Amino acid sequence: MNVVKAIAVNTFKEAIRNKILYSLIFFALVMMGVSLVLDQATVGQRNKIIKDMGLASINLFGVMIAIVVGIGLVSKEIEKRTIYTLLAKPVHRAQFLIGKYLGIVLTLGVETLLMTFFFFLLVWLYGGGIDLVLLKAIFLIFIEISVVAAVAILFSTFSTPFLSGMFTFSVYVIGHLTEDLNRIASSSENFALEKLTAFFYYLLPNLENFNIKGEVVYHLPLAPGKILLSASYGLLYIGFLLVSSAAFFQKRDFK
Amino acid sequence: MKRSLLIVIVMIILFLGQAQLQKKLARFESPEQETLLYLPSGKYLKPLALGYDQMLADLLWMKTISYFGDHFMTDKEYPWLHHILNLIIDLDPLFDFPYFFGGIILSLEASQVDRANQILERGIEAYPEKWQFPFYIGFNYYYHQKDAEKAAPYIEKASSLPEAPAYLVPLVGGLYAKTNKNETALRFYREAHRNATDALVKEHIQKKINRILSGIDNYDTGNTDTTSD
Amino acid sequence: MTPAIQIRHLTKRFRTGFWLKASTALSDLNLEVARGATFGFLGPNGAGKTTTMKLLIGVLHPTSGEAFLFGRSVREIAIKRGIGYLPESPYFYDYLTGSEFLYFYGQLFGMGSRALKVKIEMLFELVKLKGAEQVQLRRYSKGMLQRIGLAQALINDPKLVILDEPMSGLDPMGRKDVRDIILRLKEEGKTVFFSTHVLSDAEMICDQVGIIVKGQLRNVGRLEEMLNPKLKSVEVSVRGLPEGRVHALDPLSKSITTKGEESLISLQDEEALPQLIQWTEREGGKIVSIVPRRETLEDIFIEEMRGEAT
Ligand SMILES: Nc1ncnc2c1ncn2[C@@H]1O[C@H](COP(=O)(O)OP(=O)(O)O)[C@@H](O)[C@H]1O
Ligand SMILES: [Mg+2]
Repeated sequence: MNVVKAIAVNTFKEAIRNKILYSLIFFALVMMGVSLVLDQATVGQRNKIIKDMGLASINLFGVMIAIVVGIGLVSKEIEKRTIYTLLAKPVHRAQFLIGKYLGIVLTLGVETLLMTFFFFLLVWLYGGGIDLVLLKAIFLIFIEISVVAAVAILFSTFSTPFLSGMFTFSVYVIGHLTEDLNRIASSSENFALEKLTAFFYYLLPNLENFNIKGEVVYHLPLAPGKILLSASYGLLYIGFLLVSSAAFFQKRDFK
Repeated sequence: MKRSLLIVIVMIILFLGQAQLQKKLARFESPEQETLLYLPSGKYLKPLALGYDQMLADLLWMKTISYFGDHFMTDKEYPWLHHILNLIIDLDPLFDFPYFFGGIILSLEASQVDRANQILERGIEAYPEKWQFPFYIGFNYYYHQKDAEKAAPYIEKASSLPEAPAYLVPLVGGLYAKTNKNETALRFYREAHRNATDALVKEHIQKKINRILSGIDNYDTGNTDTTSD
Repeated sequence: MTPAIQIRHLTKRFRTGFWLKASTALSDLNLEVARGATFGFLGPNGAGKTTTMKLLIGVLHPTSGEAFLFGRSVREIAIKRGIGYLPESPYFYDYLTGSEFLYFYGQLFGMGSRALKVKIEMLFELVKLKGAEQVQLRRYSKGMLQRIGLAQALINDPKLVILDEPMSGLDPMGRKDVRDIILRLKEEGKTVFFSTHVLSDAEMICDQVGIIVKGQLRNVGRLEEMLNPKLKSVEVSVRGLPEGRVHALDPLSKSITTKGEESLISLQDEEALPQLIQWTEREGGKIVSIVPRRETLEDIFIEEMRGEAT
């Protein structure tokens, strides 16, 4: 456990020292850009728009950072061969991966926290008060980006950084489409297509489960247990990804 | 020292050059060019939004405002307005402004009464409790299409919904009586004006009210500018 | 007592290129290194030294065969408690300072922070990096990286130290420092297994060597036994002889090279030496130097390589 903690802390340190958090400047700029646009087109509900935009930006930035950090921090270790000396210590490869993952999640958590703070500040400035319901959506966004980071790690264990990035992004896109694809295919006559989409539907993460942005902005009632269930789904899926990553990683030669 | 000065000068020249070219390029694009044309139907757009449905709806909504503004200042033709509004509704059905905007602006400014009503019907679907949507449908039928028979049930429905103002009931009576149309029209518009929370919509309704008051539009003689679609 | 390192029939094939063609980096390697030995693993570039070490550390998996450290399979994580490893041209977390880096690695052994602080200070002293503790590794030179790499390999007081080309990239002072550290480890009774393609380094410090060429072990044993104690030749430098006179020595010598005033005469053995000295005095010449030449590791090495060529 101490080993995992030491690796996680070191990973977090790497993210901080390599100025990952500077990406927040772009988030802030985008949000300020949005509010400028709002000032021009005042028709419509400012409050709704700023909340939509804020949640979407937190989501989008979170996913991008999860992909970049998730792939960067693992494959760099292999590419720069720092992993040689690390694995020469009494460290299981699985411990290494889990430590890396926790360090990445810690980084993403801090990043999400800071984005949330900025977002609430902006909503408040625009007279929206402090709407704590929004935190529900942000919580599930955090789970979603944690899943995306685990996907990134899985690909990094056996692929190049560039390909891993492409794969992870594809999983992210398809993860939002599977529900629709599955629905479309199941109403089609094509048996093979139906099976194929069903396969992807269960294999790939259904990221729409973590999307309650619309619901919280409109203060719609959520199905009871929805958040808990979605979070549990996310955690299980992360577990599945990490175990698979560890299996790939165990077999791997570091050249 | 001299070298860095030279570099700065070159940078400034290049920057100004590209800005100048950009200006020229901007002139190539005819202002009538319709970017909205390329939007697919909501059925395909919604999955592609990847969960950013509301944000996309907001962006399209801002686009709508500028589209409307552009054409209002120029040709007053709005062939794509209903399309983009429907898209926004597909993406974010609970966003209520597009219903108000479409229901009033499409009939009043674009003379597309059927399309206005279609959007309002979607509004009723999303917000069955809002009295304004059936009210606007009835209004559109009566004043734009002179169809009291179609209008009456909608106004009646509106009057039965919560928060509906009390004088909708006599309005229903007025519809069936078919007399004193200007008076009834003014009531409609004033009610619409009172309910509009959006400055642009309000302004358009106010103009209409002024036209009726000054006698340019006269519903009793049928001399109005938005009688047919 | 089990040996520190036991390698049995170790074979490693890599699949490379688009068609994943197999190439053999190591074939059927058998090797034992006794506890307390300082073992020099010698071979030209691409011979398989690094591959062998990576297999011992467990960053590579063998195609076949097995390796044991202190009698336990290298697959066991626990054996790594007693091992230190310095990779070839090492690169470390460049965002950490020297002492943060050692602290992090010490934590992996579950060392407490007080014990670690003492240990880290001692290591900085040992590898002569005093003053660079708070400097980020990205500002370290290649030589400094090699030194901090040595320090991290020693953080856990290992019984066995595996060093891959520890002297490469170092200046003469640095090479001497590394040699001194290895000699010190030897004094402490530790087993040192190190690779090099620079023979003089090995000659000075190892008591045992193994020579590997193209993935196959060619020769292994104690250095004294391997080197022929007999003289190979005696080289005598002479000046002041009348021109052309030196060739009178042809029947006595192996070879003669003349450069200006000076001639270098190579004798088969010492026996002809008194005769040569007398003759030179008679001819009015002067002996400048007499250098006896013994067999070196280099000669053995070249012989092994030559065997490879034929
Ligand atoms: N990752 C790898 N993939 C393919 N071939 C490799 C790899 N690593 C080493 N080799 C090959 O294995 C042989 C031995 O390499 P290496 O162990 O690095 O030699 P040395 O350390 O003795 O210089 C070389 O022919 C090298 O090309
Ligand atoms: Mg090597």
